[in-house]
Amino acid sequence: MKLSTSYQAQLLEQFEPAVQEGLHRAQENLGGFLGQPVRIEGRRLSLRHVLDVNCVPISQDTIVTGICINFTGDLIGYCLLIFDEQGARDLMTILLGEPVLPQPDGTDMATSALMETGNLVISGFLCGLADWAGGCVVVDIPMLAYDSLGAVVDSVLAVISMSAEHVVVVETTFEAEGLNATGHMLLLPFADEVARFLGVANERR
Amino acid sequence: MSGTPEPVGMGELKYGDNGNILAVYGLGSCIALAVFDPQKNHGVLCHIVLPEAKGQDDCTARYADTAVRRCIGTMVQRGSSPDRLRAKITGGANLFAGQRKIPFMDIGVKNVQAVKKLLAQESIALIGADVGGHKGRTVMFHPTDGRLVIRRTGEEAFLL
Repeated sequence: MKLSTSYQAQLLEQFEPAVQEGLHRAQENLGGFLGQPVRIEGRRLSLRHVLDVNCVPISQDTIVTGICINFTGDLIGYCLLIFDEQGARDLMTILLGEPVLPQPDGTDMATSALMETGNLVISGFLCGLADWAGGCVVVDIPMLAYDSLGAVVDSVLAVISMSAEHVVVVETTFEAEGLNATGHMLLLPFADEVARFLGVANERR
Repeated sequence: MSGTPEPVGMGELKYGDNGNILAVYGLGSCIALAVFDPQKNHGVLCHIVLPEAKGQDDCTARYADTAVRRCIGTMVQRGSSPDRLRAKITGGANLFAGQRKIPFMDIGVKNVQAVKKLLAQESIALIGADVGGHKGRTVMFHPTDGRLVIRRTGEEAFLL
């Protein structure tokens, strides 16, 4: 389904307050876990074609840690939290006291810590969205991948493209005092679902 | 003419000859399908996303069923006979494996099965495959001679 430009703009404008509420909740969750103030900022909200892998403004070959969570309920889709190597090391320094990266077998402390971070941020974000709409979003267990950015994004977009032509992307950065842990959070709900979600919010007001 | 490799995005099909290189950067669960004619020194590379179009009118290489037909059509249109075509495939990984079963995250396996079945149906010889696993891949295809150079994340490149 091709969405008109005016409809795209309208959809994003209506969705923006929900995203801000979600980011605020994610910030509270992560700050509470780390024991220090954290700033999570939504840099850009955009509607992208589902096969556009250039949603994250870094090279496709960059090695990243991707934490992905599937969600269902009044909004359906995936949320993907991405840290490049430096961002992941900075985050690990805060969480574990040393800049370690997750091991491929996924049984180490770094993997657990990253998955817990993803869980806190993404579930906080989605609960904020749901509360804004007066609706309900059910969050699944996080999955973690350590690979090139292109391969991680490709894998998630492929799944979403089964039933959507467009996704809403929220590009986000994380900052905590004393460290530069920059990450990107991509909220990838099916675009048709966003329209339905906004309908739920309007009905409940 | 060689030079900078030309990227082939998700759902795209590109034709090459005269020494140029076609590339897929960061292949996860998707499939890179290379079809070439060793006598005519040309070929196509496509970046397949899903196994089947399920009746949807698709003019891209997004689905395996429509992509395989488009590959053959493009090569025939450029003077190749279907019986001379050769194919190589790579991709179909599951990057999020090893933690728990998530619905649809095994799409890579289904993509591999679909492409192999369709190539067999069309009687196209599959002469090389590096598929599955849990690592992403970057792929460089040389349509003139059919070389497919694959680099799995964190490993040395090799020739298929």
